[in-house]
Amino acid sequence: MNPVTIQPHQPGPGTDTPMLAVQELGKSYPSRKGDVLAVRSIDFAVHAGQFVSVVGPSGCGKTTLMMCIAGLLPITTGNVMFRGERMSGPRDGVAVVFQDYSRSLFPWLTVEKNVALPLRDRGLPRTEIRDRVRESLEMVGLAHAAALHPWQLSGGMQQRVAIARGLAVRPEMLIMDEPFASVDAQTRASLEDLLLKVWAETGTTVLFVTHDIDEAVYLSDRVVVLSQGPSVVVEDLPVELDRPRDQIATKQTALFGELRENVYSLVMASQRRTSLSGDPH
Amino acid sequence: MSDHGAKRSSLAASAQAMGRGVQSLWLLAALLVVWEIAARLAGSLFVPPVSQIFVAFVDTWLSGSPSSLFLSDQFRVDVLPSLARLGLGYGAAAAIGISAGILIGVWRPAGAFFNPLIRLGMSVPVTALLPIAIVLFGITSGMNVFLIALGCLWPILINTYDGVRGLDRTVVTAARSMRLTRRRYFLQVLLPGASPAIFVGMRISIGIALVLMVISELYAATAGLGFYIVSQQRLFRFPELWAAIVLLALLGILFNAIFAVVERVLLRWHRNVRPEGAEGH
Repeated sequence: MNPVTIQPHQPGPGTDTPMLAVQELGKSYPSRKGDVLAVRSIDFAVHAGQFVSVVGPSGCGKTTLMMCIAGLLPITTGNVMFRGERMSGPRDGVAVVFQDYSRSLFPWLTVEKNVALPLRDRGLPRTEIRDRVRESLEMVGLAHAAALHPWQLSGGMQQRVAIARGLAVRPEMLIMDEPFASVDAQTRASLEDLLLKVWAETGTTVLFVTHDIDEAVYLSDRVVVLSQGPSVVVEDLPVELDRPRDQIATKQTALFGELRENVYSLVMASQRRTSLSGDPH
Repeated sequence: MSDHGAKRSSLAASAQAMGRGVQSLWLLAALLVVWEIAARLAGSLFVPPVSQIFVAFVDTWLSGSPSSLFLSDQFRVDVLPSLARLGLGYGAAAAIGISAGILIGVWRPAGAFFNPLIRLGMSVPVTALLPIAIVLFGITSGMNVFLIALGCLWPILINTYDGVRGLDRTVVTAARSMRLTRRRYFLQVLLPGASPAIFVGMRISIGIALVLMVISELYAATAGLGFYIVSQQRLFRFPELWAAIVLLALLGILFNAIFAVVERVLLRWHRNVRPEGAEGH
């Protein structure tokens, strides 16, 4: 692991408690043949304002890890610290965007009511809720779709609604689990750029889980590479590409190519290592 | 599309469906003509021609004054008590079945505990309990209501339970990540999510309710449609008997139509949410 990472959004010295610290996180599931280890031990930290991606070969327990970090699954060993406090469940300040937008948005509610849902029962005045909903929908360019139902929208638009719902609570951290995995390539590129724009505007910290290496490198300040499950961190790689990034120009730079290749070989190496060790499933 | 427009388009769809219904009525018309001719030729006392049944129908049920919506005294004496029993029994079954179904769906130990009891209750043909109900309640409306309620309870209970247990895991996880209050979760996630299944149970039960209403009244009652049918049989007034059967059929059609409309309005999202279900807007 490389301790000397450059963190563009890191606050000055003195306030160096990371926003999120994942400490020796391990997760196992009970099964008939005894406990199955999904995540062996994960350590990494995310500082305020950073955009950090987590990549790994498929089946390395990325979604499990994300659910543990978001407090949606109990962890078996280790700690997840949010602003120095131990997280024991979902909390305000952390919003989650799921891969499966068609099911994480509620089809019986309009777009507007979906986005407003996490703001309810928090003592916010009605007008404040309405303003925040409009603001978040405007941020993702869907103000005009407020009265529609999610199933009246395309996949890309639905995922923008899900992002708006995450943003509406003005989270300190946005956790995203392969949010663009089920949309087509063009939509995906525009959603990536939309996310970068929103991230720059809001200053929200983003933890982005993906299996797509290009996407991870393109978006992030840092890429955390996981091994095949039961996963450990094999590399924590700084991405010093200039911002704002551009789908064509950024991806043509030598540095992008280098980073991409670097991450790719790390992922492949970890995959090969596990398959050689003959770990039965 | 505005809410208003949405309602209009669902009304237009209803009108279209009705148009299709009318188109297929020719088969029914042909059947009635065959009946008329065959009955006239056979001259059977028990199966009178359609025209006679129609006359009896109008005389028996629709000979009232305009101020009572043309409904006859006979209607008031026999149909209203039947409908009241049906409403009470069905209403009680819905109230108990939905509440209990949600309770055991949400609270797993209760589900495991009550499951055998529910399976048992479901497998007993309610009609077999009729003699016991008469012993318990005597020949009272309470007996009819009890029997209807008992017969309708199981489909509503089981379907509600299934609806709650079958709630999409992504939906539940997304709701958990938003930290909704229990009340909000219940009203805007659990209940709407389970509503298609609850609706299936209620729709099955309305048919059962009608059957149990008639059977329990045939067997033991001093007024009601079932009672009327038996008494007409004893008086050898077969056109009147058939007219009562026609009225029952019309009631069945009416209940189904009510369900179809309610479903169209309340569960519009459910029909549209299926893959590629988005309407062209």
